Amino acid sequence: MGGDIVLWMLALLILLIFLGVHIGVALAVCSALGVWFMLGSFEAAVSILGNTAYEAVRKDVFAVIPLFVLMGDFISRSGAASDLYRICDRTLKRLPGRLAIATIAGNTVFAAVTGVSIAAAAAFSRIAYPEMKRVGYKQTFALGAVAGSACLGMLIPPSVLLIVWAILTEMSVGALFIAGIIPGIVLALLFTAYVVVSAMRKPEIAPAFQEDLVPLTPEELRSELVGGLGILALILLVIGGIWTGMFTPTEAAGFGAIGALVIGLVKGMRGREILEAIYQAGRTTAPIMFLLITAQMYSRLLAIGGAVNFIQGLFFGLGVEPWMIIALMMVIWIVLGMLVDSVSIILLTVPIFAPMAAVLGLDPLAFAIFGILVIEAGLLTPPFGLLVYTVKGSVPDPDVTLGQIFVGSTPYFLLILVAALIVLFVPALATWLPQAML
Amino acid sequence: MQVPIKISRAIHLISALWTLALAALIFGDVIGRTVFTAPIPGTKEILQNSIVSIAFLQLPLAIYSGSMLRTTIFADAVPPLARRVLRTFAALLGLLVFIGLVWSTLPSFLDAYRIGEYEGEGSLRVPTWPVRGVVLAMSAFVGLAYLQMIWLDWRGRLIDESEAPGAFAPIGGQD
Amino acid sequence: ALAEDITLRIGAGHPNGPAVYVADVADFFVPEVKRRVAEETEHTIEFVEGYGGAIAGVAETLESVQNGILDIGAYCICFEPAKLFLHNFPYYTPFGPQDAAQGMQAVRATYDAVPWLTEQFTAEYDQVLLGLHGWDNYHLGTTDPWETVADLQGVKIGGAGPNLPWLEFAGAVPVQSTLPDGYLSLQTGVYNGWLMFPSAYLGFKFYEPSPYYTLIGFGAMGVNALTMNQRKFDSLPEDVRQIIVEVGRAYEDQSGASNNARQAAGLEGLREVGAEIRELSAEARAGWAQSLVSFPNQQAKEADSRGMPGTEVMKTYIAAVAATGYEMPVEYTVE
Ligand code: NA
Ligand code: NA
Repeated sequence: MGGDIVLWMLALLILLIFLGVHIGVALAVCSALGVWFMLGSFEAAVSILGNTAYEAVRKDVFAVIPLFVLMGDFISRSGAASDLYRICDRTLKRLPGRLAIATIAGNTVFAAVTGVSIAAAAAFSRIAYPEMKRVGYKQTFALGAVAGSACLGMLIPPSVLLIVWAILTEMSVGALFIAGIIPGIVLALLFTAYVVVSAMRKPEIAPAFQEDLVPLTPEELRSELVGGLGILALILLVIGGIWTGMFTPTEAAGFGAIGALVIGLVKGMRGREILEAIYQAGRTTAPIMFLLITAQMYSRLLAIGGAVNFIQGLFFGLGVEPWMIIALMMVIWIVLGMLVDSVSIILLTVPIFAPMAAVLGLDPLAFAIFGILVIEAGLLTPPFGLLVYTVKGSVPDPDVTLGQIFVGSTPYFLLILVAALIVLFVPALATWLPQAML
Repeated sequence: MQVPIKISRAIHLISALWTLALAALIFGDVIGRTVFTAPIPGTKEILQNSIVSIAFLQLPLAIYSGSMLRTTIFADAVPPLARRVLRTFAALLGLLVFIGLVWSTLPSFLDAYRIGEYEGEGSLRVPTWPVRGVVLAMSAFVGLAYLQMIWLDWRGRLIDESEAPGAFAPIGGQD
Repeated sequence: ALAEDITLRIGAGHPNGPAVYVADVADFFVPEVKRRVAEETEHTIEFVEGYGGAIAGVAETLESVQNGILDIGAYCICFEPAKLFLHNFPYYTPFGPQDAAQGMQAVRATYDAVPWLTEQFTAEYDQVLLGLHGWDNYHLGTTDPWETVADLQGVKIGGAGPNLPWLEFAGAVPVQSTLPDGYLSLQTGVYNGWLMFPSAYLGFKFYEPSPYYTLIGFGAMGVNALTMNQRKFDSLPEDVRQIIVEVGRAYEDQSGASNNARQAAGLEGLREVGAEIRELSAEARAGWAQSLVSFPNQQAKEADSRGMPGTEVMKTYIAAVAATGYEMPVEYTVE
């Protein structure tokens, strides 16, 4: 009975989103309706709304979202982002698609700073996209690079997904952190290879930067140095802080925001511009936080409807080959990834899947990285692709459509699945570093 | 009619400054902890309660400025009147959700106030009614914002079919 | 009566695994109820299980059972410091029974002697108390070694809820936290210790950033409840209701042994992974207990002022502990 209602609510959710209802509202409506039908209690239906609204983001780790958005806004409005990209462009002179590669490289570094990838998507939508657009990159190509490479944030430590997975399966958080590093780098290299190949095959989608014949004035040079070194220092402060164990991600985000404000001040931002950055960062954050809250309402509907039992029954009822079970897990993760957030997917599936993987003889570390890769690919899939919505909500360009971002992200979605399969078949990528260290 | 929009902008600005204040709080806490071995007590409690509050304080302007995330795949393909009907439908659902939020938050707010509900213990007791109160008040405000958006829409006052006039203006330039 | 197919939603805020009371719900209560209903009645029963906060978080479970989102919920009373203030009485009497079975025996005796404790769940929160559970003996893990209680002066120590005053009395700085946040917070120095029983200390890997585990023996705490929504309970066939009540009580009865096993396995596991396990000297322990000697009375009076039978419960519990043959390191008096 619960399973039927969950399926109906799923269909309704897709319909409402298609009709243009605010996604958060659609999630909330379906959650409340589903609970009402399932429990026959109006009181329970509305209390799902109220309880979740109060509890869903009431953890200090969620402060990373507004704070990293603020950091990105300060950086992008200070002009430091433009500095960085001009420097990258000159440094990577010979590489085709170098601004997209710089985006990937930047995200790889940024990933070591953030535990959630939406912060990276929001920051790079503001930092990298305007630069690629200014130079004349094809819109979908530029948007895909921003949304796709933000996925690195969930794989390279620290990562909320790694922590949640480790705790659910009673694995070492430290070991799982270390296990994410090499696969993260492999994924970044895959992304880079895609950009290089695409840019070589169709140079018009990523035009080379036309070098100014006029050499830079000393002021321009000084400005670029301040911006470039400032960002580098900020990254060192934030990553260094986390990696030396001085900061939690939340604290690193706080330092990042303050550090970015300092860079802004050095680069000449004053009262009104600073106020404007703070104000606009808030406009970016609010819809994302509302989505996080309502996504949790929906994942509670799934839990109440016993989607967990339903899936387990499905697996055991089949009696098929092990590889088919793994394939089925992938399909379920991808389908769930279309509809709910990554942490919820882990909460709903890993308690069932991890023991099954152990029975199938898979290494738990490798399976965790494989799973996190597949699950985070869902950040890029319609209709509910959190990173895609984040990019849409953050790019300073009203012409961009969700469809363009989804199209541009598709190659990245496929490459993440490729990386997942690589880790599945070469588990040493995940297990070697942790084993070498312990 | 512009008053609620102006209020939403003011509330938004306060909550945005509050975010920066949180960064400063974290900064002070870490410096206090590492340099003076004296962290700022209650930092974690302030943070987690602030985040919910900030999220809700920023919602009314998100409605007025058309920032709520949605897809326009279908709307883009139909004539303007149908689009307006779809927008009204979407806003009514939004209104419904936030009425539901008011409905369910009101008793927990009153309960929390009545029994003096708190979290934590000892020197770290934090009453829960203020945050519940913010969720309650802001949910009511968001409901009003959805209603006003419908009204503005049918009077043809929405900019780009999505923003209330004056909602999106930069903070410096007054409308 | 006609045969019914019953579905019950059961949940907890903690994940199934590291938290014993949840593991016992998933591995004992649920299968046992299923089996007995199938064998002894004409009905069948299925459970939709939502642990780890999938349906309700640790601080929302009581409310979710009250309003029917969950039919049955398991939760630590410590996350309801206001609603169930007095039910946290074991926390207000630290250094109590070290053996979880003995501790649970004293807690049960208190519930039986003061029916208000059981009735409160029904009267105020529309739920039936099916059984109690608890945490195994609490100790202290720290990132740095320490010798005397004075060494803890000013040290930041994480904990959750009503046990934080134990630290304040010792001069340590309590930091409110949750288990999932503990690892990173210990690693980064947000705090430098965690007040935690060995099973969770092992399960959440706190020994990695914080390897010094000192056996203090604050005692086993019978503060977890398994409750069921009253309306749902009333709607079930009589024979099923009976089974649920019996298995709920059996869940409570096996909780002492279950927690003791976890304590032993936890300590063993901590030794195996190389945590440094130390004993606190008897004098240091007595000194700590002495610093808390007025705590039970203080909490009793606060409960009284909230219209709860604080003095009665605290007196009953202290007497019940004595009746188990366990001797407190200090003599707590409640006037
Ligand atoms: Na990361
Ligand atoms: Na998706």
